[in-house]
Amino acid sequence: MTENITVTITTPSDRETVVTREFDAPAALVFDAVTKAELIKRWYGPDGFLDSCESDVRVGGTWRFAFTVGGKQMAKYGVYNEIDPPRRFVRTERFEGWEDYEALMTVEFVERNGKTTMTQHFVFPSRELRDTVMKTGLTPQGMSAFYERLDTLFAEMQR
Amino acid sequence: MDASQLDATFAALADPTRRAILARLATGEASVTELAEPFDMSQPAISKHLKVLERAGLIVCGHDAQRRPRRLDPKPLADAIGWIETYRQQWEAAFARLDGVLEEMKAEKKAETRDRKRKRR
Repeated sequence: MTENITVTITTPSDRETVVTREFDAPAALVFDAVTKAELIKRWYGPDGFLDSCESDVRVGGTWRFAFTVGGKQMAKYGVYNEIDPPRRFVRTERFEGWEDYEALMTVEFVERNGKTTMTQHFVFPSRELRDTVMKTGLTPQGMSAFYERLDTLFAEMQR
Repeated sequence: MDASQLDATFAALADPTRRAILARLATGEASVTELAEPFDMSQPAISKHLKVLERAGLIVCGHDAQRRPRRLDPKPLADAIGWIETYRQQWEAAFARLDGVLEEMKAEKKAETRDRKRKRR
């Protein structure tokens, strides 16, 4: 695979995940692209496709993204707790039909020379739930993808 | 794979000698003596590393009772790589699409500004 690595993922504690990425656009545009429903629809979700997308961007406003994975309909939803455009927002995240799970997502935007670094900070209720979410991610991929990566690693190791 | 297994995997992979041993075993099974040679290490030192790798489930002991060759078990390694890597790749894919959306937004903005200037004239 010749893919460029642009996304940084760290796990500062057992219950946290941080996803960081720089975008070649001002913070105001990035903020809109990740909070406005008609824009989210254009990039978010498994293979970039959401069945529906609602996002009421104000404190106490709700959001809901519905998508289909392997023929199964799923939805993420939650409430916006903080809105401070174009610097920061905080929202809760839950999955329909999965009562144990609620994560808190804090997203920060730092603009420098017209480029914006977006940091998504997730806090999960437990280590087990974090691991489950990270393993399944946005789309549950088969083990074949894992083994492909392993083969690549071994090829690199044997060089 | 549970979290403690994953910890053992990551701890075992943190050491460069152990990664080198795994790379060697990726080419085929080897005995302790065969492994000690290229690494310029004593057999007890190698055995210590092998024990860590065994406990992490990364290698298994072969059937030959005398040579006791070790071989690689790819499953835990696949889990360890896949866990963060798959997650990262999903964000890579989503953010690559977001790049496209941002380019369109920038172009639209530019067009708007141009139109406004034209109207003012």
